[in-house]
Amino acid sequence: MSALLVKYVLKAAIRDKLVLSLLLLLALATSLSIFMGSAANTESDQFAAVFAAGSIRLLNVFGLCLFVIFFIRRSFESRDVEFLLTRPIGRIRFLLSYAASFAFLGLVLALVSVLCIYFLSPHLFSSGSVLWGVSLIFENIIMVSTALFFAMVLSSPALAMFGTMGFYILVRMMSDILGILDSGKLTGSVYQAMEWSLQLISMFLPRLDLMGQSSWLVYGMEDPSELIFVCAQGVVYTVLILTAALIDLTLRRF
Amino acid sequence: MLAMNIALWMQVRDVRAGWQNVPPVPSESNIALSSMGDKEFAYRSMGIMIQNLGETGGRSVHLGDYDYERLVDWMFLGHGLNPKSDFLPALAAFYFGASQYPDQLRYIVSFLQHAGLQDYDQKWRWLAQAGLMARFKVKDMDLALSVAQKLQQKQDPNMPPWAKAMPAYILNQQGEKEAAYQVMLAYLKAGEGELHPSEVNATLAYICEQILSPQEAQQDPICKTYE
Repeated sequence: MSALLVKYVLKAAIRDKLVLSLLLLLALATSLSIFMGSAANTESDQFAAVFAAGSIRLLNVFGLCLFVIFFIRRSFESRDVEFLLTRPIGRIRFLLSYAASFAFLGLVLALVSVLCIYFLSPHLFSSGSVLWGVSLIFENIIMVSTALFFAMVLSSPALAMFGTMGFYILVRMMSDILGILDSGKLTGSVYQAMEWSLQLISMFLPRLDLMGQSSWLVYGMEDPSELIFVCAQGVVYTVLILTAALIDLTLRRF
Repeated sequence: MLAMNIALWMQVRDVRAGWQNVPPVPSESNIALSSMGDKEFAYRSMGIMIQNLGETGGRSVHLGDYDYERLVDWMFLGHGLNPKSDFLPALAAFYFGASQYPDQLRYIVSFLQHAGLQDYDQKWRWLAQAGLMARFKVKDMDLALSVAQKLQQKQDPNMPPWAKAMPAYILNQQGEKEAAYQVMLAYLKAGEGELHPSEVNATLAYICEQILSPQEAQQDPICKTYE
């Protein structure tokens, strides 16, 4: 990993006003959640916390992925990547430096998000909130790595964004899709084939629906093993997706 | 073009979405899909939607105009997503429960019973609320008795003593004096050594003044301990 390259990406994030705009959006989402929560007859604080958690989570993912995809595509188009690879850095170090910078941005934004949740309702802050924060860090890291992969593989930023968002929606809905498959209501050879394909696809996808659950903010952490799952999934899937991006970059001819 | 735009605006100025009553209820997986797998978010969004159903866009709908059957189906769906929260039971009991129509309130009683039977802390309150609603607003004593019996059987160490004695009050109201008397005796026996003296005294007072006639009370040995 190259510290200079990490610094270069972080400077680009500040120059692109990613941090500033996301901070403003987080403040806006938190304020709107307080407004929405106050409209509830009872459990107003719980409503505000859940609305804030849901919107903050989406803002984190969308904001970071947008930045990663457009930054990478712009780097390719302005021949920054080719220039950097002519330096004594190597493709592996190059990709890992980029991934580390994006992961750092994900970490910082997740920490700011946890602060928003804390200021929203300090009396609700518990071990569940910490779990939610840790989970958001890993979710951000998984998603920036995925965005990095799509931006490397697909040449159009719009296509890369669609691919990343399609992936995000699919992994967030995976429990319901698997539930429909397990219900046994789908019969017939066509459905069987679809079921097998979906089972196969789900084996290679993370379960983001089990991460960042807003119920943790209201009812706390019920099972400490959830923390282990969140960390394990974050590490395993990040390594998997970065390996895929690395293979693509190594085989690429400039 | 500006004038045409203003003319178009004048044409549609008062056009608004009409009140279509309570919308059809989706399945639990559809609701979870719409919130991308976050069930708590789905529950809270649905809760706000149910609360503001007929009160959006400057509109105000009389509770009697709501389709309570569908409304309660929404509540059952929401409760399936989060059985711990008290938001939907509170909304059912204290907001939609303000309806003056017993036929509508029967649906609310059924939902409150469901919420009250959950094994979480303090949920017995919703059973008590269902019993009170069935007795005083729906005025169906059989329904109230069935709810009270469920409340009596509920195992919750935080439940107050009167909740266990609720079937006796309804039986007494129905004229089933002997049954009410037996329930109260059983209640006193079960709480021997545990009930607060003032609770014992209040129960004896109820037996000797409300269930038994003055003549019966004079002959009953249990009333001799109560002055």
